[in-house]
Amino acid sequence: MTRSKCREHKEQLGTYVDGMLSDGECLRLESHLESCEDCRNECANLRTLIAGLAALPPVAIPKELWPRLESALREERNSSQSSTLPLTLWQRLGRVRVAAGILALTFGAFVLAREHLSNGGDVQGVAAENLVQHHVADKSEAEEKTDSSLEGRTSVSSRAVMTSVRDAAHSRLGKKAAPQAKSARGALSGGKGDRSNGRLEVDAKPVRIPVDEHDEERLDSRLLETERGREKKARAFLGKLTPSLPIATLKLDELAQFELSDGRLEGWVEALEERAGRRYEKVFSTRLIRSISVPNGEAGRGHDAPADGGVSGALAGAPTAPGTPLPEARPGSQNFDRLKRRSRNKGAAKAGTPGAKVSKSPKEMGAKSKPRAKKGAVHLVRPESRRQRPRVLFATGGKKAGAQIEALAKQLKAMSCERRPIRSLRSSGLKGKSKSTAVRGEFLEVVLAEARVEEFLASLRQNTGLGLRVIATAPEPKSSLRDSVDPVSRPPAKSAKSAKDFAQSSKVTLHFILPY
Amino acid sequence: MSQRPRTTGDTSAATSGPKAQEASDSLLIERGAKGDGEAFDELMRRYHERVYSTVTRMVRDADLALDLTQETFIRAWRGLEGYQGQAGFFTWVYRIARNVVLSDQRRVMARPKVSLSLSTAFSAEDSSSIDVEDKSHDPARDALNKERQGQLIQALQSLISDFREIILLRDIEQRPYEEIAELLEIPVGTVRSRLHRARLELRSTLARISGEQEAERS
Repeated sequence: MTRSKCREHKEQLGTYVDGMLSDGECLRLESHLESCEDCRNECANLRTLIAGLAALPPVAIPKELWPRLESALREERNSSQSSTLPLTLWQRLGRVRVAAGILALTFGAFVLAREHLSNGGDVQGVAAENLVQHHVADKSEAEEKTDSSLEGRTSVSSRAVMTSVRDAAHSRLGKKAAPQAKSARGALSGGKGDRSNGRLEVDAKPVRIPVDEHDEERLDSRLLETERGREKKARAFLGKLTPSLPIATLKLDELAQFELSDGRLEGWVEALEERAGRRYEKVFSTRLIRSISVPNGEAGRGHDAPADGGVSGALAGAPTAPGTPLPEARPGSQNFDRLKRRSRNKGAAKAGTPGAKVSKSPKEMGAKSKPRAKKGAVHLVRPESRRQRPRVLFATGGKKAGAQIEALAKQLKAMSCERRPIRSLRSSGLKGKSKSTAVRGEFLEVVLAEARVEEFLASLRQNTGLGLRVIATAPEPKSSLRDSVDPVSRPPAKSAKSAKDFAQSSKVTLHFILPY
Repeated sequence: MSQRPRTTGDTSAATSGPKAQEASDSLLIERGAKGDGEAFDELMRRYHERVYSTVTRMVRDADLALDLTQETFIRAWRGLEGYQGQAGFFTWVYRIARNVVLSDQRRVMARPKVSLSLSTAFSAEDSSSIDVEDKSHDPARDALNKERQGQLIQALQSLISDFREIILLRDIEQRPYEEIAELLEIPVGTVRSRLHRARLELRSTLARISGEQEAERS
């Protein structure tokens, strides 16, 4: 018997032992086994091995298995019930009111737009109309999110709509409105907009849906889950952007979420800008999170006050004005799929198409952000076009940086910059284990003339000993701030062009996160 | 054995034949997809031990298996609406469990593996000595069998997950090839070839382990 024949039969041995060979194959193999001792031994060994495996003791089922599964499922159902609660009569009415409110808003905006156009072509009305149309196009989503209604009066702003949406969502979740929403409502009640701190004129008031105590309990747990989801997503995002920085604190209240398609995002921003009478900076966006931030020191607008933003605003590019929504595409949504497709199309992003302008992924940005940020890093995100403002994001190192961080904090605090505490967060471990971490920190914001940034950072470096690094992600390599300001590895070698760029720009906001 | 709460409804088929159970499963799934927790509880009650056993054999850690089984059923509950009914409920849950286990394994992949070195004379040539069928009460023999079972388990654990899984399904759980093919979403031919390679690998691993133990003893 040839060796190859043996090999062929040996391959069949397992199937033979399992009784899965066809009759013909079985006969052939058995006749071979009669004549081949080697294969016979192999077969015997295989049988023994299989018998040994079959005789392994069965798995002992622990007593706590069923109770644990049962309680876990009960919890899961309770937490998910909030999203599937049957609508109360009031909620049903609320939906009708949403639709009616949106229609009224649309009509009002349309009338206003016509008036403005006829009075000299004021584009604000058109923008508002566009905005409302965008919003109306999303109204089914809004209905789902809010189950509330918006009482429109005469005009509407994006902020009003978004604040209402968010506020109503909070109401729906049985949670008191976030502080930002409250402040936004303050602006609403004021009637006139307060542009100095990023608030817009609004004439619509959100309507809250009352929920009973029982509902509120369940809805609270739902909210918690939602926040965890947001936190996870935001952390993942920030982790990509700043891989070596211990950014673990976020103000979730500011992470208002909203779904907009790419095209609508652009139109929405434009409408918002027109309506607000100021420019909004599109700092960056990712496949999942799209962000818009309000720059400080808007040239020609007389607006040098620090943006009223928080950590998420600073790092994730989330809206720095309270209540400005953070458009987002959720997995499974049409928007998500579209963004996913878009993310594959890197060519479009490189070509600087209008869509690509706001769809720069952190990976792409990171590719330009060499060397990677180390502890104590400054992230400088260049605007994507000249008309937009540059923005500096700064984060200190982790707790281990110890004395250096303290020195930095001391110096910053001595500058009487604006400080806001970061609320601590807990991230629940997987599978219900009680593994959790709480991170506390302080958020500081410094507004500087852009030309002074380098001087300031140099001063910080000298006084703290931290190897601060400026990382630029400018789309134009020649004017990249990374080339001109890389304090760690080499002294600044500003080109005339970049120096000019620096001089021309006015203010830069530095955001510091000091963990403690 | 864990306590088994009975639920009302059309659950009597649980004790009938497989087809009746399948039909009953379908009804329960339908009800569960509409948010009927009781129906899903019944489904879970039917299959939780099988799922737990499978997961335990995959991960060899009772506590972790508890966690992963819980995670499996939570995911099943969440995804029940998307269940198409193309495969049996257990097959569907098995796939979820498999994904859960694989995800967990990926998560701990970075953890260094500890190579244990036991010392027992056992080789592939001497594999006939895995005489676990022996039911005599000779303490020395029992101890030897136990030791050999330990080696077998150790060898099983050192296999790659694909091989380990197919051996678990076929040689330990005694599932037919067709069911394995359905569970793993591979053709029956692949089941055969993979099983063959897995057994070869298991034998050689067993031989290596016993060789190491032999060397240590000597």
